[in-house]
Amino acid sequence: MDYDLPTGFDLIIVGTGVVESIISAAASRIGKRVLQVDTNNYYGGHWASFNLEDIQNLKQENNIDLGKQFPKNLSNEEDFIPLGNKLKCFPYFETEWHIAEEDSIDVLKIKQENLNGKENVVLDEGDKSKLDNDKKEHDDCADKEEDESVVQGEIEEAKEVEQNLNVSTQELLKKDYRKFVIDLCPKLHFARGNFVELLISSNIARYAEFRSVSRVLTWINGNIEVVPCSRSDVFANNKVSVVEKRMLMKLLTSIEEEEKSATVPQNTTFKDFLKNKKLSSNIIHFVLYALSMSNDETIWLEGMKRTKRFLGSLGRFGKTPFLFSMYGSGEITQAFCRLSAVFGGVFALNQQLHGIVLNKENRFESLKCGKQNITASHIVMSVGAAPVSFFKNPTSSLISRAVLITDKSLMDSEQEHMTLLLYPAGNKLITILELGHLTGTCPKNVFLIHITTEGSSNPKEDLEGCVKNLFAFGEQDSNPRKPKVLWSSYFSIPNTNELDLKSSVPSNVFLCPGPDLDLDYDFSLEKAREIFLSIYPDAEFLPRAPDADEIVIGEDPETATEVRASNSNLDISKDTEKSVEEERAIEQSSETELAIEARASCSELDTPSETDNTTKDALKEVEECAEAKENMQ
Amino acid sequence: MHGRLKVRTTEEQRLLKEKENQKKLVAYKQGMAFILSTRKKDSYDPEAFAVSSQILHANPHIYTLWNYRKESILLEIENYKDKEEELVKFLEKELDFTEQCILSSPKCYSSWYHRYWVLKNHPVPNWEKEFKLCAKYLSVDDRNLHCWDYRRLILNKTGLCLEKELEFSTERLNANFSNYSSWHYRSTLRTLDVESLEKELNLVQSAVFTDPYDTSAWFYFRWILNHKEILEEKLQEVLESLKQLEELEPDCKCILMAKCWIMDTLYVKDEDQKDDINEFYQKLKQLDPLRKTRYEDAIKQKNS
Repeated sequence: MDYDLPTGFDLIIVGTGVVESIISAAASRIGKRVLQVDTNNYYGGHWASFNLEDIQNLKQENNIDLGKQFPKNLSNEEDFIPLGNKLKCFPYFETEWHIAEEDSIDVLKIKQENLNGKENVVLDEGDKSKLDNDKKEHDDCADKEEDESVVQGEIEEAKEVEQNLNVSTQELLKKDYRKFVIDLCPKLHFARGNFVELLISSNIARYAEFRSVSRVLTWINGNIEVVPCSRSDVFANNKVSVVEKRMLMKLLTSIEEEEKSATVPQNTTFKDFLKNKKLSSNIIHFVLYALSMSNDETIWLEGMKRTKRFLGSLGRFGKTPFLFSMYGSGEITQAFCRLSAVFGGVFALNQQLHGIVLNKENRFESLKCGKQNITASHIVMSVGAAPVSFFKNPTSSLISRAVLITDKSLMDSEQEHMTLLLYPAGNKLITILELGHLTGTCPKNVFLIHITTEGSSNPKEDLEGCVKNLFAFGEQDSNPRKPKVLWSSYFSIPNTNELDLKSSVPSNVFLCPGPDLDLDYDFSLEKAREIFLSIYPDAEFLPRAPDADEIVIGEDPETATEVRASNSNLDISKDTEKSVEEERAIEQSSETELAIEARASCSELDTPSETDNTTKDALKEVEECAEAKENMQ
Repeated sequence: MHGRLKVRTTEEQRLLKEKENQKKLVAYKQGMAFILSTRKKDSYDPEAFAVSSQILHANPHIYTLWNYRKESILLEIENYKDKEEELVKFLEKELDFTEQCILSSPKCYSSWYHRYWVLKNHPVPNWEKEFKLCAKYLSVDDRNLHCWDYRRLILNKTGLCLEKELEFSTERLNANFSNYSSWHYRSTLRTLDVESLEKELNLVQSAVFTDPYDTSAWFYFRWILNHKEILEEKLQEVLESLKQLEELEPDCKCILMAKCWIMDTLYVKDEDQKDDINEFYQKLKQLDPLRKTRYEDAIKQKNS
């Protein structure tokens, strides 16, 4: 390492997971000197996002012996405790392709013959780029055929061939590997949940973009059905009778009073509670498994609480109660890190962390990072980074995960949806997220599926039944309605939220749990708040950060606009991925520049300073206009 | 201390805003004076035309400027008489401009009308695009009467494609059925026959069962019930289903009202039913004391 980190911090944070990053932002925000380090060369730890190439490399990284990442003893003089334990690893990790590496020439030839009918094109067998070009031409050709709409039969044939052409190859997907954002731990946000409220009140929401989940589905009697969760859903649903509609609406609107007036024994299950209300079995399924995301054993009070959480978030953003952060949940962690950095937090990834030094009173004194000894009054670390001796019993339960890339949506429709599917399986509830390219997490024409459930031993076994019912692998499954799996990954993540993270830990050391099974970040947020308030009991937790145009540097209010301008430059350089919108805005503003030129040409009317100002006004209006346009899309 | 953030106070913000407004006002006055000074019968000044764009973009309600633009456009149409391509280019630009104005204030009569006027003068108007525009704006605000109006204007030009418009109306209702405009639009599309009546009845019943307290669906319900093609058996059937709904929602006045409508038609001379209807009106008086005399009047008419 050819550079040194500063030392003498108020707070060192080891790890860049969600809990760690929230604490980092909160501490920097109140003016504490914060250092946040990670041994990985990426942000997020178990909460990270990867592209299609990196997630496959992760498999190998995971096999690296812990000892190598955390050398046991670098120097004999110091008496330090080595960092790291097995909770940092993935107990299970595999990825697998389910499609051919590349289209064989023969296959292509057949397709092309199908398309062209009698026409024959001679192919130079070695020339792949030519093949690609040809393919494009054939696509156009198929379109034309459709336009002319010669004979019905022919059109259908052309469509079939087109579908065949969509069968991706590894080669095609690998070419687009950077368009995939694969979250290890994807999360949704309840529109009125604590997390969204925090994003708004702290003004962190500006660092991320969100998209609302557009439909909630459930697996019922061997079929996928839309869950009617809002008033308009109930009205539009043609699978339930009018009387069922009324009963469901009644339940949805009166749940608050229900809870107060209900006289049922404490240990009644939610399922029995609903049954006693003489609801039809469809409605019970919708409420029990989808709205309240409960299982057969959930007790009624808990079920009511969860139903209220769902219903309370309806009608704020979009048709369902949920938001998803564009470009993956990893963006959320980074948004907090960014706020921390804006308020002076120092970040260093890819660090060699050897251990921590405790003093005689068993309090944390310094962190051995590379050749440096960095001191701080407190240290916060992710659970996987903590020394083994900090746990009484470092075994945890597991979260079973599967990520699939499929060729079409679970439930076809004209518009692209972002889907949450709730799949009850015995006493477990499996949650499935289907993301299309509009979420910015995968390329066009494929879908990214995230499956999450409580783990037992092997994620593949845990999810086998569900995956088989919903998806097809290769040619084995002939059901044409099922999406075909092109690539899959199964892994498990330790669920460290039930562990005792306090009793064997020095008083100025705090451990952050990793991912949990909840749909939202509520639990992580509570943990972060709790740790922050243990360190700084009298401080405010993430007060609103000012907008750039509220910041005055020096005394002249005019300079504020300059700050805004320089800030927006910063934004562009940081978010190269998201520059499309900005480009559009810039395009728009060049249009106004033209108009402004026209205006300036009648300059006899305006004094120079006023022209300047109307320029600003016009620009601002164009910005707003672009924003409004964005919202409409 | 260096590098500390100073946050502007609200009083400061207010003064700043006032200053900005003053500057805007000056710019507006100067712009208007400039445009009006160039206004002539036989020619127009492109610079003034550009300035009018800027002002209208900020405030599209100034119809003087829209009229000024119409004059200028008519001059251009004359000008490009033999050059259709260039005229189209010019008019398309004008259409784009109206869209921007509609975006910034979607409830402005002048900009919607100006758009229609431009299309009317367009040699090859793309009406299909206008339907999409309506769909887009209604998805932002589904009660924007300007947009509903505009769609009807376009329909007058293109002729009605019943299937497409029905689908559109259903789509809007599915998004939100508490919308008088959507229901009314549906009622203007066609003359109902026995078969379509059945479909409409199912749709509107679905709405009143979902939310019996929403009055917009009941309006449409009443319109359907008054249709001359509706059969007596059908009315009986609806009455039964309303009784079911009443069991679930005994205190909803709209259900009682609907039952009265049906029974009034079904049993004009039936003395036995008269008592029932009287009873409904008595209950309505309790549920809806604000319209007490109205119900009393209905009872009086029944008994006379």
